[in-house]
Amino acid sequence: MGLGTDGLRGELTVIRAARALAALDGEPEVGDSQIRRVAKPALRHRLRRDPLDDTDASARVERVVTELFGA
Amino acid sequence: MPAGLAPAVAPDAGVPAGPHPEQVWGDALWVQALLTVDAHGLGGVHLRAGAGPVRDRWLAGLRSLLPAGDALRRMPGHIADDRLLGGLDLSATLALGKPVAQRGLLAESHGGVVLVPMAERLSAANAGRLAAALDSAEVGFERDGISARWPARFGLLAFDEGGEDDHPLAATLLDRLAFQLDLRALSLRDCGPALPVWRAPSSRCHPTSRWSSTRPASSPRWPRTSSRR
Repeated sequence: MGLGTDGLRGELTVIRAARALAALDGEPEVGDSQIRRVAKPALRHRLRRDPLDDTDASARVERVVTELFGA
Repeated sequence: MPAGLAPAVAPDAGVPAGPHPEQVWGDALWVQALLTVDAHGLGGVHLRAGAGPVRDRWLAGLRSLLPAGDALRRMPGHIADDRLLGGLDLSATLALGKPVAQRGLLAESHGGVVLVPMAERLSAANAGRLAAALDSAEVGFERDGISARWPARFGLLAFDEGGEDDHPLAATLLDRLAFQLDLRALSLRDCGPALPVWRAPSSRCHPTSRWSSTRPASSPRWPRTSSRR
């Protein structure tokens, strides 16, 4: 997703969490809304600290998600 | 729903305020519900909060959503290997005159959730054992002239009571846990008494994902989970 996280566990977690959320919502299929809702809690603790970027981790995830899915 | 779960800090001059407490608690409930859907598939939760009523309320909510029985087991940080992974059942071995294996806590937690209090103090060895069990979804031992393996599909609940300057949770575990919650800035009055009413997934509900082609659409089980690699 362009966040620079190490490994693929972040992406796999997003997929699994989105599927679980879709089940909770009673949706038969995972959609963009589930991906957007799980992205921040699933990814923000996986970001590497950037000494040149003091932006909050949640804000960084939000920024990338917005770039991917639109505002 | 899940909005900023970043460490909430007290408003201070020049320091941006964290997310609203109601939002943080709402996210905590949302994560709680997801855990009950697929704890093993998600790995678990890293919960940063001091011992107190807020954490107790969150845990009570999780217990109420999990099936009754041994669905949630507590793992002491100093647990011995034979109790964690399994070992020789001495009394049964002596009674029968041949080696008898005994399941450990992780195998006993199959299908449930393992709670680790003060997870930030967990030894690297035990953190590694937990990570290996999360990856392979099984646990076992080979020693004392006997070997055994059992399934161990569990979710991990890592309670972290450490502060900013304390030793962090082992990275090998943090990477495997789906979510991180930070309830340190919450007080009990920020926590709603009632859990949200979730629509239970119907037996015919098989969410599919455009991003994952590994799950057959006709899978009879839900949720489908696979070994973490």
